[in-house]
Amino acid sequence: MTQHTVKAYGDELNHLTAEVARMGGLAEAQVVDSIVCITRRDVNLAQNIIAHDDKLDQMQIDIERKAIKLIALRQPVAQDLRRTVAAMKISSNLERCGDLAKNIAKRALVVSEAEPMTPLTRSIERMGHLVTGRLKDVLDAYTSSNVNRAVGVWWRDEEVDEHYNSLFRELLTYMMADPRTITSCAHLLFVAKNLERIGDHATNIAEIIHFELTGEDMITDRPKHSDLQS
Amino acid sequence: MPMNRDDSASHSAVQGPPIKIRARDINVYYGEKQALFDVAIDIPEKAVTSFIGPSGCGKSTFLRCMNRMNDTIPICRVTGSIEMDGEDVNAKSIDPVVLRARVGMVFQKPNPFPKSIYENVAYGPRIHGLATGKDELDAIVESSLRRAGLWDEVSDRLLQPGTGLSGGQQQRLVIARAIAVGPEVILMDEPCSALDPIATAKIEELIDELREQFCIVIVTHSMAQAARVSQRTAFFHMGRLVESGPTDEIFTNPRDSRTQDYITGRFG
Repeated sequence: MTQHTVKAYGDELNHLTAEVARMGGLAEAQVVDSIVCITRRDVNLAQNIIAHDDKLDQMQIDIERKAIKLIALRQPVAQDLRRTVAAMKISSNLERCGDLAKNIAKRALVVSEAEPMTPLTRSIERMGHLVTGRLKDVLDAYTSSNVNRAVGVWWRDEEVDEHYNSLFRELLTYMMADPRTITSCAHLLFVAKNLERIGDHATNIAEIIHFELTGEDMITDRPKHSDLQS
Repeated sequence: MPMNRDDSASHSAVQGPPIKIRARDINVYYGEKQALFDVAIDIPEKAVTSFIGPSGCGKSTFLRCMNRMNDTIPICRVTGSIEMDGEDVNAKSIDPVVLRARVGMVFQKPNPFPKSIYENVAYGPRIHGLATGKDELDAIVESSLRRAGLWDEVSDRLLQPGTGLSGGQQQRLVIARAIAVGPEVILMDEPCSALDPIATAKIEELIDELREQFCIVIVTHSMAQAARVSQRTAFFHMGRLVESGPTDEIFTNPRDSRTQDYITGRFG
């Protein structure tokens, strides 16, 4: 894209995008770490994640203020406007991802006190890898302005849902078999739900990127099951 | 070929307001120099269409084709067809003076006649024989000034000179003068560029009210103004119509990279 005639305006837009990418990196790291603290029962790491969440909140506020200022002072239109609005929306999705990671970390503190349930934490780990992979892909799509990559993430949302549904059944089986595991399993169920929601945020971000880059909404109907029956 | 958003939709299906002005293959030459190249556009009735583009892109030239103002420039030559309600405005049978009453024009700088406020508005209806007596003329003057949103400010000093009004008031006086002869189309060539923000807002509000009765075409250098007042926007560049379509689409998702570069401030 050609340079802005007013260079400072172009710089501000680039700066905004860079901030969102930086926030994305931090949110992704928080999510990755939250899964590690579940699988390795790492209490210190969990406390670290909880402490770091403020940073993401602050970054989101910062990005929002910068975007509002840019809208007020530069009156962006067309792709510049879409880019500014996308930065605001993506940052709020990332902030939610951070909250969910923090929530996983808090549950890790509780789960770590109970007996280990290795097969279950393995399943959580697999789902976690899938979700963090999607989050990473969508953030790469954002930084490289690659619409196809964003669309790819969007299509793969179903995999996460399937994982979630199978984990749900697995947890129910455990709880029925041994009621002493109910507390841990209930926490792990929330962990799985949180991961599924992080996946949804990745999908949202993919849609935002699509609109930012093309000006069009994604209108294809993605097959969606909500198979919650066990 | 310019992009028109409506091309993608079915051509036969009538959408939105009917077309008031239909221009096809418009080429304009000033002597040897060609100023417009194959411009084709439909301008809807009872709506505001804005023309945007860098200086010298031909938007004012095209505006002036619509009421044959270019006739007054000896070296200017226009080819192609402009139809208003299906009638060719360049036909021999069309009297340009009558045409200009049907297609009024407002310029960048307010240009009231050096006469009273009353006479400024009464002049047109009188020479076109639109009023039979003083009462009727008074009524036209009052209703025109009211529609131009100026009546309350000038009703007690109608006999004072029009040139004594403020810039914004003068511009509304000129609009009242244009309305007084019962036009169908009002062309505005940067009507707010000499006005302060408050006077500009008043004119924009007026344009919004007038569009219920007239077909309005406005040339503006202010992208924000085009976005605020018009329902359709046409972007001109180097004598060509690059893209035209609904204003909200042009300003959120222009299709042509030149439009995008221009409206986002990327033209070098």
